Amino acid sequence: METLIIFYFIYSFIAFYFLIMYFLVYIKNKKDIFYTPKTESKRDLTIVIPCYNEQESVGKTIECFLKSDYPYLKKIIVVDDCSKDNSYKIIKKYEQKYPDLVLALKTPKNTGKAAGSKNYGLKFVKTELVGFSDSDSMPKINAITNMIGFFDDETVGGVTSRVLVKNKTNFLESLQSIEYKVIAFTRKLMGFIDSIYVTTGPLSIYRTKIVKDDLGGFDENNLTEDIELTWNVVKSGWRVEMSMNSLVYTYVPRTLKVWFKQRIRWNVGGMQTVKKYLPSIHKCGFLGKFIMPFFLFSWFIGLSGLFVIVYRYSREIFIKYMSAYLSTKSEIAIITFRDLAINPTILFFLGIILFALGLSFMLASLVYSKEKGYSHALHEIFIYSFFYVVLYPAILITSLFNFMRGYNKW
Amino acid sequence: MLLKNKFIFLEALLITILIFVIGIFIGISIENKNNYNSQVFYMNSEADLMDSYILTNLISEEKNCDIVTKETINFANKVYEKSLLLEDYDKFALLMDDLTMLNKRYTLMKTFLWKSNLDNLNCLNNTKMIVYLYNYNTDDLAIEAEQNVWSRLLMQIKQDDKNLILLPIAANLDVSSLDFILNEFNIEKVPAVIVNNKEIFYDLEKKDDLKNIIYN
Repeated sequence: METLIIFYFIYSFIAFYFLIMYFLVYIKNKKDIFYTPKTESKRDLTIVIPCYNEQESVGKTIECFLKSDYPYLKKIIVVDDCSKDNSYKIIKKYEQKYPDLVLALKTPKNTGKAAGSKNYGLKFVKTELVGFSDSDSMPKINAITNMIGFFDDETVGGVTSRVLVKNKTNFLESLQSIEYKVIAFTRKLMGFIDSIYVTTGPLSIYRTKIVKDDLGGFDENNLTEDIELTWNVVKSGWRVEMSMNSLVYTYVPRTLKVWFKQRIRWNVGGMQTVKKYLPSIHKCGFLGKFIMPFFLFSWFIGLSGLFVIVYRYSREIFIKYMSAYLSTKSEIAIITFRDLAINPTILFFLGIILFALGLSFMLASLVYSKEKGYSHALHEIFIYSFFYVVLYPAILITSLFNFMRGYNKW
Repeated sequence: MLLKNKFIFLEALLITILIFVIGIFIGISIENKNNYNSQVFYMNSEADLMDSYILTNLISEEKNCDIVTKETINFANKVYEKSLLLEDYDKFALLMDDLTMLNKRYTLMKTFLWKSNLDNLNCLNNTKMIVYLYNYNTDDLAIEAEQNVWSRLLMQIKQDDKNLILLPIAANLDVSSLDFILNEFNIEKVPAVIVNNKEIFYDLEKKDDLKNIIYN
């Protein structure tokens, strides 16, 4: 058997395994997907919002938190990281208007990363729980309330929300909207097997004692401080939950260039986290012992397979090009029916089943993430399934290259 | 983690293994079927060859060249069609070994046919014939591209004339008898095309030019 086929089999096996696992998790837990524990406890909460050059959105974010129906939200700390625009002025206005609730802070100097502002704001937190949000995120009125009940379980250290896309005006944004729904659904399923690997930036809440006292805040050297913190929390023996009923809307990149840069940052940050926690991976529960090694292995196989595929296709392209050139010279047809003939092989069948499973999973994600008044067009789903996800290997390779050369710029 | 999810990793593993075992079983079955078909094609061709050989020997004594020619063309056409099929099976064989041995046997058969034609040149003098010598499983991309075009070009010429004998023969499968004939023809490199057992071409020609050479 040739190398490419072996790679294909291993990669298919891993893909099948994860998809089937997700389906089994879904089947066994579908009644609990939207479960929100009711609580009588009165846990005080502070929200910390880092901000850098977000004059367009920071006001809206503060407004959303002010409208929250959670009665024990005691403070909204907005930390400006020396913005060059009017962000700080806007934050100050809210502080003046709501002096008991809003606290406007400014870092002594620009920290360059959200982690710096979050850590700065964390110093001022005195409540039992602390939540972090982005300055372009808009939580629904009941988003916080639907998260607090999970803290009645004494083993839970952090709770994350479901993030949906606010801006769906162009095609790329619509594709990201599908992606966010798939990610949210997958994350919830992973929560059932204690394998949530990130508490998202748009809104996540933690026990203050863990983040502030035990872990000393966010790692400022990591590009994705939310992923890093999650691993740190899990490593410390705490569980992480996700509340599907806590909706937070966020703005996503409008252009391919910004989107690509954001994905590189996410992936490099993920790689930094894996590198940091690799020696203590056995302490990270199922996430570390099972899910991560499997992911890493599939990355390795996927990337190696990609190189083999690129090599194979480059060969094919060269042969096709040469054949077409020589056919033209010989004045014969460039392509014939025989060239298009396909015989069914086992790889073909496996590919079809895998694609059907993947598509079903994506459709299930969309069904479970219905947005009122918004549905995705068929062509968006088609493009997402066939082209959007295909861009990921390119992101992975670029991220790996950047990670290896020590890229650490926000 | 909830108790109901405790064995999910194992359950998923078992289901995945089951799917793969079924998948590989189906794959091997398909390829076995193809292998079996190829063997049957070969055995049929072998029987046809024997039949054709005996018939040629019987009737050549009576100098009935029409029947010899007709039989030879029929047999050559059958072998050509089966070779194309074998090529497809070979291309899509992923799990089992490739069909090199069967290709070698076909090469032997085609060499035998070529030799018979050379022996019967007087009788087959008006029959047009192309022997196409190519490399089986070459790693050289330029040669592979050139061979693609040669096979396409010759196939098109063959489609225009059903009575043309086209013998594509893999020249790199260590068949001593073939190597001997190739020495006789002073073949310098492969791919090469021998037209009517006279002219040898190493470089691609235009379709019409090649047709002119074949028929003039």
